Amino acid sequence: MLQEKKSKRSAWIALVCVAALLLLVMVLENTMQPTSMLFTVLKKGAVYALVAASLNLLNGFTGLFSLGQAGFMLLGAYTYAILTISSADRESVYYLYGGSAVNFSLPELFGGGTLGLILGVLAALILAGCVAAVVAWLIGLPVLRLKSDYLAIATLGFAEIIRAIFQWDALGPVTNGANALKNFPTFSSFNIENADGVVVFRLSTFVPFLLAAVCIGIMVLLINSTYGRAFKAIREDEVAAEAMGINLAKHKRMAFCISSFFAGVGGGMFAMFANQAQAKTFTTAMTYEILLIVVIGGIGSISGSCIASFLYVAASEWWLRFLDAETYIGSFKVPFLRTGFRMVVFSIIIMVVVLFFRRGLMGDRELGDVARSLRARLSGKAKQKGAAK
Amino acid sequence: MQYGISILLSGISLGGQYALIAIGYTMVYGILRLINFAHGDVFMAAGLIMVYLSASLPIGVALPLMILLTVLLGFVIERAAYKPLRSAPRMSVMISAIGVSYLLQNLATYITGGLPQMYPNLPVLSNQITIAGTSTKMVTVVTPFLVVALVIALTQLINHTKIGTAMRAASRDFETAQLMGIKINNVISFTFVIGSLLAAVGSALYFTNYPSIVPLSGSLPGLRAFVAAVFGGIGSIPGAVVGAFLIGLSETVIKSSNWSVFSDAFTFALLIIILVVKPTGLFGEKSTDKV
Amino acid sequence: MSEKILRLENITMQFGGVIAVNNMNLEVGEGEIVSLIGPNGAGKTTAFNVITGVYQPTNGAVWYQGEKIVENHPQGKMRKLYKGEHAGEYTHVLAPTPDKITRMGMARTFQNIRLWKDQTVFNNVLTAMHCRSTSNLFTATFRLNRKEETAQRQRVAELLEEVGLSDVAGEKANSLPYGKQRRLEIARALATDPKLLLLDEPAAGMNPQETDELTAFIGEIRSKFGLTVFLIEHHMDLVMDISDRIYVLDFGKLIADGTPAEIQNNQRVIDAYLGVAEDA
Repeated sequence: MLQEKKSKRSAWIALVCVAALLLLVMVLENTMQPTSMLFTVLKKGAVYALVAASLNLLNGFTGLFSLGQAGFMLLGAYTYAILTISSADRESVYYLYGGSAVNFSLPELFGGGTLGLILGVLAALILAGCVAAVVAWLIGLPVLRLKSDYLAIATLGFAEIIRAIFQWDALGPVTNGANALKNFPTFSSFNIENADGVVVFRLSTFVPFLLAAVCIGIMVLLINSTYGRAFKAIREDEVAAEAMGINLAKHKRMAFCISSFFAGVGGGMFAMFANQAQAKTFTTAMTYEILLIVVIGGIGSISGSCIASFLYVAASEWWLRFLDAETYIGSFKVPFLRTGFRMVVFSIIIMVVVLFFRRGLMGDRELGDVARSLRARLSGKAKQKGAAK
Repeated sequence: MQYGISILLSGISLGGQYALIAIGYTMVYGILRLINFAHGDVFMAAGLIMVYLSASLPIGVALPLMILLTVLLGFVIERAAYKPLRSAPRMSVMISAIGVSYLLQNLATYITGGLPQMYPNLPVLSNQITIAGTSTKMVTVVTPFLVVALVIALTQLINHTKIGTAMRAASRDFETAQLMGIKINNVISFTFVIGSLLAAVGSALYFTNYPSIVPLSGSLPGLRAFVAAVFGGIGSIPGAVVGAFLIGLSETVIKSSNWSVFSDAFTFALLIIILVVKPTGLFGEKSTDKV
Repeated sequence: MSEKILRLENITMQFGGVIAVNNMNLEVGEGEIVSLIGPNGAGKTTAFNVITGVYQPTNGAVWYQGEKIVENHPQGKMRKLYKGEHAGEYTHVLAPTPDKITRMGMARTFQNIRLWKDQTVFNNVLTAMHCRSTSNLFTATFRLNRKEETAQRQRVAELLEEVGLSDVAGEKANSLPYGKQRRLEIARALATDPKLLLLDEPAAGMNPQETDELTAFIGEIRSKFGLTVFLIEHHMDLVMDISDRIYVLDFGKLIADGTPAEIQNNQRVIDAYLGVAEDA
């Protein structure tokens, strides 16, 4: 009883924090230089946070080690792009194949304009998730029976197969073969412009934050529900979970489809971020990148995944950039610094985390737990002081 | 006909090269139950080491030195990245393996500056010869024989030496082997040494057929060799060899057809079918979980 | 004959060439406490695993509340290898997964405790209620099942109170002392709302005092929850104290059954446990 009241209160606190964060992003975006690296990092970080959380739902909370996330992102990105490229641009995007086989665009179907854009993009993102989830369901039928590392390698294999299919020439009129899909609504499309086409209010960072926050919020709700408890039971002891009446096949499939759904949405958002969708982006290396984010953040901690995403993206795209540039201090050339050094340093950092900080930033705790234990410690100290007086 | 022969020849040769990598996967998996994701990158590293050594040393010195350095690399990877995680969950070790793979690739990119490196011409192996009217490199002919010889030597080692017995014991039951006084860390290191040695030999054979090496050159052959190991039944050395020859042949056949886009997809599809239909592969043993 | 809650009919379990359970026939009546005893390796846990769906028997059938729930006959390679009796009597295959059997109303504990170690005591019990929950993914995620969730939490609190674990509700399961972990495992099984409780060596590793407490505890929960209990045990004090009837298993075969008094005086049982003089 007591526990429930407490969780209600912390839910409110979390909600307020997220709202404040969103507001902060909106303010920053409209006061700072829009070209600042910060915004690239924030946008990509939000997308990666969503995908990392979805992978964590599977690896961290259900104990299913899957390496197929990039494949599901690819499905999402293509679904989103194919459904939203404006009909006027289809001819030029698909020029190699003499036009597109899909001849409608969701934002236009919803009547165009701002409302059409919002509804169209939302519908396309949801469909992107659904396509990924349906494919996950199909893939799950054979592979979810496999144990740990076999499951990992099988899902990795499926991701590669999906990538090969999307690059196949025969599907060109739909997927544009190995070429990129472009000219669909991106995050910048949400900036509010005045009649002269000058941006008066920026929302291009706010939008990915809002989308990611809603999706991650749903995942957190799910994890704390009775289904989430069942997932954790499977993670900790499959045999015991099954003996306690939890249908393993059903729940594993559920977790796999949900994770893929959000990876699909994340893929759609990645396309929006990158302004294009191309199969060769979604390689196994991308899955590894996301997996490493999950590990750095802490397997089994959603807030850890979020924090790690931003740190990872900021470090790789921004803070560590200087490592790639040859630098001279006076006439002294700083050793090692040249193209590629950033990634070496980066992989060493990752190895250090994997080997020596195995629990990652957060372990399996969430931000709320940390805050709570901090407060408990502080009030404990205060009491001690009071007692000393 | 000639075309057919040339495909057959290169398929068998490719298969032999995969076999040498696959043995490394299968032995490590047999003992540690770990998919050593970094093994393909060790194979790539062996190629790069050869490139740099041969630039300043005669081939006769460079080749053995390359093999030695690769073995050292394999040994160091095991000691640094896998040994500290011996008691950790399997997922952590696998992530560590992915991390090492990432590190090796990035290191290679850094050292090479991302540029493809020319693989040196090895004497004898690179010579052109003509068999049944098709011209090919000597390596194509040498590979199958070399592979068979190495595999025979390896089986002798495993079946008739003390360390071989220890390896078999460890793959049967890790903990009991430890309790019986087997120095498990030595056995594991030895496994990595052998795996890296074979990968080094394999890389010399493999890259002779290709003009250059890039940092990602190891990952696909690595995955294919892994599929071969699973196909043959992971943990089984003859299985890995048979699987590798089959994978090598099917890859060359597909690459010469209209479906070459799908050559990797095919490999993975094969993998998934085996995993689902017969997870123990052709020669693997069944294991049961106890409740 | 009144319908028994559990009936094993000609159950044979053969692994390769080894027969672990040989033509087992036994019955457990409603409300009874029945024990299955026998020397180590006699096939007791295997029999449990057959009943709970972890293993599929090689031949035979399991009946629960008058309904056939498990059935199998030697198939594939087993057709040639099969050495047991009653071959050819069964033709159907019924192989529900363990979770289905649990939802039918049978819950078990494990010989080597299998709690969800990193979860709190409270959550261990709460999670076990998932199989009785009626909310779907949508209502659960968006908290449209408040009523059920509240009722479940209430029920967990009551259950913990009844098994005497409310004071450690917030602790992690693996931080509990051994005896309490066993108790928690029983509480978790009770949370699935069973009619038949299967206990696999509930007193393993307990000292005499803890064993006595457990004996009382099993009797208590039987009357409180209207349970039938079927248990495997090595502690003869507990078995003789608590059981209405006892089955004795040796080398996969049932060699005796009866009341505790009958079993204590059964020569075959004594031989099975102490060995027969001829091979001495």
